[in-house]
Amino acid sequence: MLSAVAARKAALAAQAERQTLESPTPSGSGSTTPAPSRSETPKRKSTVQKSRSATKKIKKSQPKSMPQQTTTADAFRDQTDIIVVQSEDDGSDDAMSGLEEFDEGPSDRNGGASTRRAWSPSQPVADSSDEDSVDDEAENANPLDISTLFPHLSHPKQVPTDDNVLSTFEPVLDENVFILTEDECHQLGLEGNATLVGLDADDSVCVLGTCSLVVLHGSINLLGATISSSTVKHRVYAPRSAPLPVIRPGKETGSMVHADKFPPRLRDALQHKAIIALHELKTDVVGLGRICRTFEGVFEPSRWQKSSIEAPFDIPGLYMIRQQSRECHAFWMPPSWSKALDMLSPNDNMICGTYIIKGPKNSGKSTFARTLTNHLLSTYKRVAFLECDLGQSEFTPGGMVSLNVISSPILGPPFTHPTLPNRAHFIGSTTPRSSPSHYLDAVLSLIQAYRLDIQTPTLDFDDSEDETLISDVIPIVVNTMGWSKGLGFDLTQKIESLLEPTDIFDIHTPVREEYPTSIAPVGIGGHNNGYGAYHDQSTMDATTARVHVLDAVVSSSSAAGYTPADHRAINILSYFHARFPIDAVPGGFNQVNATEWDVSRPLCAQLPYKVDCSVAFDKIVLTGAGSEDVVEEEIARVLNGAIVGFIKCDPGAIDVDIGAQSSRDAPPNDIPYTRQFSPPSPLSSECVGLGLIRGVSSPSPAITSTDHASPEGLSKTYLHILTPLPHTLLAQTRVLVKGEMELPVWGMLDFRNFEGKDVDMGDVVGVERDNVPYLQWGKAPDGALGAEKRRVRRNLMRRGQM
Amino acid sequence: MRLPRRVPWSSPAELEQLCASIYGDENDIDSKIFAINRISAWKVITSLPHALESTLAILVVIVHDKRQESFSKLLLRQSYANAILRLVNGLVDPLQVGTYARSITSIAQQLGIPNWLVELRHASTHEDLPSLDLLREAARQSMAWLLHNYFLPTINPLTNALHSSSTVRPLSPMLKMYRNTMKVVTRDASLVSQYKSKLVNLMRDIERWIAETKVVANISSAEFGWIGHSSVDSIPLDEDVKEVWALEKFCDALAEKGMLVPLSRKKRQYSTDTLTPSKTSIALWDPLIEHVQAIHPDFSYVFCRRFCSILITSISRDDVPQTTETKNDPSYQDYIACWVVWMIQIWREDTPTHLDLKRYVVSVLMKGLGHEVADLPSRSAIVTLLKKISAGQRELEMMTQLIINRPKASVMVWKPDDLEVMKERHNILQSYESFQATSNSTEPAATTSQQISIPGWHAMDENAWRPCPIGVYKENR
Repeated sequence: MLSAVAARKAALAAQAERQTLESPTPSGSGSTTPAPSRSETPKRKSTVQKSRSATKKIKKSQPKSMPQQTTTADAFRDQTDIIVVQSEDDGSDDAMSGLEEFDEGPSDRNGGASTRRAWSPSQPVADSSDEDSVDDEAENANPLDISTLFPHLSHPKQVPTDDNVLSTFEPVLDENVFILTEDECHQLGLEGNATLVGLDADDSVCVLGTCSLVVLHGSINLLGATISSSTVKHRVYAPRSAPLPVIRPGKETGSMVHADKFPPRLRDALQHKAIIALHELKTDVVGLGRICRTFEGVFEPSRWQKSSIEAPFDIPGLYMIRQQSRECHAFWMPPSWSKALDMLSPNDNMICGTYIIKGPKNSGKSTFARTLTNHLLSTYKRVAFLECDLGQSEFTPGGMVSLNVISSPILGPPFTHPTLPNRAHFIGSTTPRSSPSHYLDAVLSLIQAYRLDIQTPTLDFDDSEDETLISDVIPIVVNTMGWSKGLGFDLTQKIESLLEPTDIFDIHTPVREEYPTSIAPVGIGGHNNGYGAYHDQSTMDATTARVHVLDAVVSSSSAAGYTPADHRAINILSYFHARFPIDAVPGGFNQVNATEWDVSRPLCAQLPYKVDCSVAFDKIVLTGAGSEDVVEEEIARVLNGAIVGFIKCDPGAIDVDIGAQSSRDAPPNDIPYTRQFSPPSPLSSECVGLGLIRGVSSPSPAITSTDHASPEGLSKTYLHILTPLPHTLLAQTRVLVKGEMELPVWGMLDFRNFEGKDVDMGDVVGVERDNVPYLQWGKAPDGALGAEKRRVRRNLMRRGQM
Repeated sequence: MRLPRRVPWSSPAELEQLCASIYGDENDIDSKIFAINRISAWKVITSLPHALESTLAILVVIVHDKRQESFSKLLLRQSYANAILRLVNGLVDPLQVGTYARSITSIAQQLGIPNWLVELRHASTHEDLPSLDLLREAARQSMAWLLHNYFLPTINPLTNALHSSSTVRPLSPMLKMYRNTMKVVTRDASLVSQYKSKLVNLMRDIERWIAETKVVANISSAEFGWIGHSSVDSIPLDEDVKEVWALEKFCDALAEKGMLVPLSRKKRQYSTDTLTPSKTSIALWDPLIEHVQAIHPDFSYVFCRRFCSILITSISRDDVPQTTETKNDPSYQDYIACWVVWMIQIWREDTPTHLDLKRYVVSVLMKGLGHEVADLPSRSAIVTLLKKISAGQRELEMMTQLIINRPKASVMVWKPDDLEVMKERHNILQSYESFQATSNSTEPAATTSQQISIPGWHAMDENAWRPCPIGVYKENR
């Protein structure tokens, strides 16, 4: 236990160090991010280097008496400055003669910020060997100071800065914070208990937790969204696992409540630039943390912060964060982002914006996409969002590409707003690696659907109150996947050419100088020597799109210790625990997202549907590498415990020839599965959502044996299915597709046995943990080799690298 | 609690059945095809242990070969070669645990993979494709290896402590060489450039030694408590345990006399006010310590714990009449204490870690001393160490006082933290109650089953179904 804790501490400490170096970037790079600084364009020298060389200068001027104050100079590069004396050595022992003289490359692993980085075998080591300055004086400073030999060992100085102040708001009761009485709430047209907060022009409030928010006067900015005063309640979800919103007053003025409606006590508040009313938001989304323990308590300050965090609003579950810390990272826009957003004024020409966001993983694509959507929602009534990132989708669980029409700002991370897609296609995996062409077809079909049905809505909405917002055009934001090299690059490139965007947001991370991982990015519509996968020459024409080059922000969630796998897990669990409005039907232009979750019971204790497989479904399809080898006899086994996509097909899109099938061979069961059947084409089908097959009835052995004798005596197969989807959607689906996605292990456990009772720890609904099927506790037995999943190391160093 | 792992079989019996059908009768192709179908299905369910995946790959080629279906033998050779090279790579890769690559042969040796399979791997990858005859034999061998090294140990888990007895190569020659080189270099800075490559190589050798030791560490992992932010993948934890074990071995080597602590007592001079080792010692060893620290973030903690335990055992030995001469060596203990102080000193610029490490050392010492020792000799290294560490930190000073001047009766010590703990317990209890309340309240609502008008779909009612683990089909008729 020590080690894990210590490693985590070390990682966090390393971040903290980096943070202070990197400020004002409000987030440190995660323990896993390789580059020491990612918030810079490649042209400029990174801040880390800058500050490092700055510290170096300081050190140089210091008296040389302190042997530990080592410089970061690279002694090995400075050999010209050292007089090599070939001395017949005095004290050298015999052992010395055994040493050979190699001359290998200079040791240039300059640690700097990476000194304390938790080294993990699956992550590249941060060896930015870019120390190029020469510092020769230190060499002779002290004969005992040989630490210059190992320049990567010197510790970075911690420079205390105060740039990480997040909230400048000073709450004073009855001056800028008013706790309303019930009568006052009523007068203002608010329900329940509320707290009024008045913000002045330079106030900022960074919040953690959950609340719902109404802007009464003026306007506010948060997460890129501008919310002007209206009666609309906005739900704000601010867990520590995502960048925390910072609320600032906006430029717009105007009140939704007339001044004389304000109770006399509150009249003074109107001097403030913006007034917001905060309500408690009781939401079960917090309970997801009990189910997926990695996210336990993310909506409240961490244990060691609890004492220092204020909750000045008298609203349960809402905290104000003053200081940036290891656990809390606020949303922060680099200047290049705000510049790019400012350029998107809708009045320059009325063509509908098509925005695509590209960039490597962990560079802030999703954050920017969310920000951009929020930004557009202050101009447009609706914004379409096309998610091409299968791993971390904004609105749906992973494994599908989806098109959503969004009408309210996104004020929380993905797991707080599971949304029924307006149109989606199931890929079944968190990467398009296994089925790139299917993926491209799916994206193409969504782009077409957008162009045909959504871009210029024909029907007129009853939006009498919102005349300020444009409603006759719907712009689209396209988020791409983080797989930005090799095939991934080609796929994104292809999507771009299909989309014909008006604006391209290209997030660049600084290229590490030692290994230029990406050659200067190919120009837009660039030519891949004509060999791009899934490209033909005609699609490679140069586009006319405006290109915005953006700086990467360091992912705050990875800084807070969350991996993409953690996010995927909570997204899926959030989806299966969500309660969508039972009669809701997306499609058209509605946004249907869940605001309730049933977290009282684990999935294994939730009542499933019982589905007669042969009656309810026309076809069950497997997709993914290796799925073509699954024989009919094994299909029930494969479906058991699987996550499947519910597919709605156009009539005739799928070939249901049961006759042909039975004539060839006696099927072992009545599951409508045929080997090597490819999933329905995205052009004639769509995915409405996901389900979990939590159990498959097994035909009794006696029946199986008679099976071969009489093909007609098929045993019926029933499935127990869990799905949050409304019945209207389920009724349309006749096809199931199972891909490579799996239910996270958290979802198979019984969270009610996690805490308190040590005895039952890990038991699942009364079954002892060692007897729980399909789960194996602890390590593989001693002596069993190859019992682990295959792991790949991409960061091994060879001889001569050090 | 550590997360379990998803496996495709419902119980180990299924794996046993599979093993029987693979290895049962060599000429029973049908049972081999059954095994192929079963593993293929499992592979779609969840990602498989590498050994099973390799079994599938080799089995498929063997069956194809037996059926003599192939039109060109090249196909067979390619498939055989690919299956075998993937088997070797997949076994070796997870053991590349160090920062630097180790040779595949040396890892394969540790695993007991026949050497010629490693050669075959190389030939298949880079040289001429081996002959069909050779490849068939390799496939046979591989299957046998898998039976003995994967299937049998997995199906019949034996608690074999024998396995961990595989030897670690001695570290002290390397450390000696390092010490001697550093001696030269520290005496004459102008020699730095001349010896730098030796030092670099030595550092790398030491790093390699740690990597090797990690592989040897075959510790059956017990439970480690909930780890806050472990990802779903539990592998890194295993790595941690092994790494700590390797680092402990490394620290033990460092603690030997003649390493960190000079052999001659004359040289064990330390400054009494700062309680740090002599300048010469620091100059000699600090680069190594910091180098290891740079790669292994846990090193400081392991180092401090290990060195503290040396001090603790020396104390408890004092009680025993027959003290061994080697251990009862006050200047040795003092010097060990100095190094602990130095280790903490290294972090002085990083306040949180610095403090944390101090706390850690104090807590290790407290735990180690426990209730056994009635009185600490006031001149003992532990006392000086404790005083030194806690100086300046009120909280720590209090703890130190407690250790040194033990209260006569064992009174529960009231610390401000305790209130927090109690609060927390209270909260847990509270939340449990409230949770019970909520789950009860939702129960009746769920029982009202609505009818669904979708063909084939039925809403179940609460009486017809009882909660059961995912993957179990249960229905009350």
